[in-house]
Amino acid sequence: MELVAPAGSLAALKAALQAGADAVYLGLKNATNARNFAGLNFSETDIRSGVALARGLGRKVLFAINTFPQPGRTQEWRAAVDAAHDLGAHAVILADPGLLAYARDRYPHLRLHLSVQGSATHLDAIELMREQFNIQRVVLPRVLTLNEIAKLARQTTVEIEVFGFGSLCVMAEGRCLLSSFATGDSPNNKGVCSPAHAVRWTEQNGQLDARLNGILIDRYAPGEPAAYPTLCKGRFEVDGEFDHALEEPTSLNALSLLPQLAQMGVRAIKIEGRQRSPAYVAQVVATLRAAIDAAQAAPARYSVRPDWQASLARHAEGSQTTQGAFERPWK
Amino acid sequence: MNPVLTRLQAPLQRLAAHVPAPLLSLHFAAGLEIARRLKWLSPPPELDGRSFAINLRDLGLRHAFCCRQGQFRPHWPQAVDLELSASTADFLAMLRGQMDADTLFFQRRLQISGDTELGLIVKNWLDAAERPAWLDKLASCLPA
Amino acid sequence: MSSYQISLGPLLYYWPRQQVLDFYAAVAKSPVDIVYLGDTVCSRRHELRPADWLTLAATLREAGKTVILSTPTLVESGAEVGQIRRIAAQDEFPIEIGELGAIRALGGRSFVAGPHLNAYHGATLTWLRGQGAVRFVLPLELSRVDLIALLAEKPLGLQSEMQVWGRMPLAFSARCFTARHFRLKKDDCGFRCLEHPDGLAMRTQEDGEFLAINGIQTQSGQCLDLLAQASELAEIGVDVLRVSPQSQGTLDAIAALDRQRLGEAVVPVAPPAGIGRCNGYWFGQPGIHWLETRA
Repeated sequence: MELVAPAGSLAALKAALQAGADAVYLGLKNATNARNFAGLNFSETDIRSGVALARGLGRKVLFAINTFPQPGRTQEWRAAVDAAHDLGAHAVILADPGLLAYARDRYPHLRLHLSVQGSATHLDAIELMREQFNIQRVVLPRVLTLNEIAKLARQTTVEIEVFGFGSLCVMAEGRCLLSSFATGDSPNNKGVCSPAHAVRWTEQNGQLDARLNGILIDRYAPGEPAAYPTLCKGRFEVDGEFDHALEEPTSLNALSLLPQLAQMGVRAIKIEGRQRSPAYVAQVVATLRAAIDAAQAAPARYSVRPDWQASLARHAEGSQTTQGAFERPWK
Repeated sequence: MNPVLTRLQAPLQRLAAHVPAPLLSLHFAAGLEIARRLKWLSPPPELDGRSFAINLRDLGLRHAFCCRQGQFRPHWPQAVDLELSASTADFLAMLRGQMDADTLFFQRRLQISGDTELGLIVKNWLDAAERPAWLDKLASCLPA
Repeated sequence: MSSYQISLGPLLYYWPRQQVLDFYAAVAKSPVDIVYLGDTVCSRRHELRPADWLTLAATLREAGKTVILSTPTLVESGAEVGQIRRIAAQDEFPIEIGELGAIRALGGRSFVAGPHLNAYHGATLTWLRGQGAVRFVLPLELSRVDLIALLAEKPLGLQSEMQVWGRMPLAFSARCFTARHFRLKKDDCGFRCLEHPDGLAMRTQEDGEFLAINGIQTQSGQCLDLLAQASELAEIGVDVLRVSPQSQGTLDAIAALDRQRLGEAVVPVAPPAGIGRCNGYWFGQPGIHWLETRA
């Protein structure tokens, strides 16, 4: 099982490689990828250095171009595919059929991964992408249970990558317009969710208000742990009840499931968080590296070590970890 | 808090009470300017013309500075575009690249007020900056 | 002057059987041209069985409507896959696909590409056309400027359709938010959606109108209202204007669109009681905004 780590900067890429990532995924400083945050991401020069570093260590760089080309601007996304090819990326992670068609026709030897934003949740969707574009790998949406993943792994020849740690999308990825509804910018059209330019924090007497384009997303009591003002994780009023109406700010943590995931043939475990610092990348990658190695060396004797859990818990959003949809406690 | 900082706290607070804030900012801006000249920190263009305050909560010290033509200068007016508040130890950990700003934020140990996007630019700029070897050496001399 | 067809999107809510039948009986008498049928949100809903939907489809066709069967938007389990296969197995009525996987089940048949396929540029439209799409529903978050740009990239032979009225479906989840609100399990939900004919309003802690929850779907709290832009949309080249069913006002919205295409003046239509309006996306703004455009 490959460990795929996020990198929002060359420093994070180096941290990931040092900590033992098999592959690092990254994107350009523009709307062609789903972490288009101010000051984040890579110049072409940085990617060139990153690819050289990774190759020297026998590791891989995966190039995310996982947003949807906007009307009249197809060329920006095609240029990103061209750059990925020219800079020697091991694979491109794409979501849009029109762009997949371009990559397949223009660079028949370039490896294509279907992004989680492509929202392929079932066998027909994955097989259609394989038949049409010869995708080599699919990143599964975080809506599937372990049983559903196991079934898919048996039914398709496409490699399967799943998320193993990080902030959790409540919604089917690539199909969520909540952010543009509130702010005008969404993952699909700008590569951002709940963008910083729309966020305002105000603290009064220890009470912290998080607003998105003026809309009150959450209100934290003094000392209460805060979360990103991602609007699906805020607290709202439904029928007189004030609560996390959609989801609590939770992070996914699949440490305990690693032997099962390996056994069912999952090929890669992905860590979320290109927006996080090199310190996060180093610590989370090192923890998952140790866990994956242990799970693969002796699956029957595998157990989650308390220090791994402690290390991941430190970085989890909302300081909570769940196994998310994998075990679907709400079912 | 670590013992050295605890020992420093009282005298620094006394100092803060007697020395006008702009003079403290002068030192702080000078520190940043030295880092810049040592080519450790080169501010991105988005920082130009913007003002910042760093609030060391445990010490009760507030440093305001601004970035003009790629250089750091003390900032005299009270109002700033972005203010960050945390403990001295947490600021040092962030500066040394040992602590993730988001982690601190989730735990309410880092506060951000003002222009949130500018905050993100600063955070991503510091994250992307390669720490020079001398900083690691210096860091290892400081208590964690 | 350009004209347009009027469509009624699939019913997104879970209404009691009689309410559904009464609603579509009224729809049969309305000036709507195209009616999309089927539950695209939740495979557990069963007030109408698959055979009932087909009977309803036949009735509406006899009333002169073009009937199209819609497939689910989020496919997770065997239940939704079965739903797609059942719809694909019949050949009496054309099909609207809710997600891309359904294309494979159609085995080359033509289809309408639903609103949640993320078709934002010409190359993707060309690919969809090659797969058999005869019409596509525009993404909800397009502005007027982007809409014009997208239609300029549209391949020949592909029609376009756009939602102009009704709460907007914005997101889909593995989780059922209605069940969660009532502290029930998704698979033992008590079908509480039946109690909320327009979904459950989700307001901010300051009592601001924001979103609505409808099972696994999250919708705009406000009712999209682009009725005033109908003629402009037709002139830009949108072929079909879609009304999405709400418990109140749906037939008024259809009637208003019909009067406009006959050349009559725009008459405002009230959204369902207690629900505001929005149209921000059209102006390149956050979708939640409402900009008054009537004289």
